[in-house]
Amino acid sequence: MAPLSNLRQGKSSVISKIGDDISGAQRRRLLDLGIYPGATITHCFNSATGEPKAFEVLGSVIALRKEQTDFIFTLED
Amino acid sequence: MPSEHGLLSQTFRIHQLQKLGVNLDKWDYVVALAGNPNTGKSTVFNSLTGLRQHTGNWPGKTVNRAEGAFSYKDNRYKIVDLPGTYSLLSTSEDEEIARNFILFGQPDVTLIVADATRLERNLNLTLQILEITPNAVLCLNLMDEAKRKGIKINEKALQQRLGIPVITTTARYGDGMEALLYAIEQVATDAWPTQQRFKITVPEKLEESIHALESDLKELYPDLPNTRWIALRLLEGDERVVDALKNDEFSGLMNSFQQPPLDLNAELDVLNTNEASS
Repeated sequence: MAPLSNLRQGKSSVISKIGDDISGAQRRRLLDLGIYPGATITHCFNSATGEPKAFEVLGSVIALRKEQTDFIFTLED
Repeated sequence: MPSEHGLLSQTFRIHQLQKLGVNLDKWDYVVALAGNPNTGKSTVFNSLTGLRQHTGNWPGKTVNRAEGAFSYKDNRYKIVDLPGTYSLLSTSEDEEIARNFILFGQPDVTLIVADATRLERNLNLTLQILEITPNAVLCLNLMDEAKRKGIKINEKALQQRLGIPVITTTARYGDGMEALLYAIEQVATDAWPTQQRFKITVPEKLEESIHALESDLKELYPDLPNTRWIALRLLEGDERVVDALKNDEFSGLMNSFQQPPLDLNAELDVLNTNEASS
């Protein structure tokens, strides 16, 4: 397992786990956006400052910050 | 080139459908329009009402919701366009408006408009709505795009699993709108068989806790709809719902949707009279 923050631009992987550090409303929000174990996620591009980063999941592009991507884990490819 | 509005009225004429615009004097049934952002909710809204999005104010909150009306066969329908959301469970204001209307406004039909090209994403909200009410219709919109992308949807299987009518449409060309109207009528008039409706089963222990909380809630608020849903959120520790209970907001919410919409002309008269007399 590797944190989503390590996924290189242009690469895809499958989400394996959302860490316990993300809980409550924040966890709910991620699940509603399509961040859940089994979903395929692609690192599309970075913003000018490198943060946040854009990811495509379930057909939509969403922005995630490092505080989140450090605790979302994907399968190693 | 015809305007968008002209094009819609031309291509979209259905026998027995009368677009009533903002004519909201009286209605037989209320339809709530819910769905993810950018699924074509407003296109569906406009093509049923003949409007180009009308916004109105409601008592209690300073938010704009769109409301319109149409009649189909013998019934008049009021249709309320809710904000587009991915969920009803997170804590943004849009989601709260949508969920409060579905929970406390108790629409006769909740019409869920989904993007057929992003079905998986859209089914999240669909299931959350079915958790609140089985009186729903799923409209799989943007079918032209789905076809172009080679996406095939087995809507019969989906209908069977969800227990609600599933209708495929391309609202911008009026495709499927007649079937959609028929489905809305079926659910509104209770002609749709309820025994097939969707039910989420939970472990027995959780079920016991839900029951205990539900009976407490019913004692506090005998008229409260959807106590099961509220009990589930309380068990989940949903802060917004816990606060609503603590601050006794449920009665206010129930009442705010029972009132007829504000009569703006009457308001204006009052305003003019006050001005004239001062």
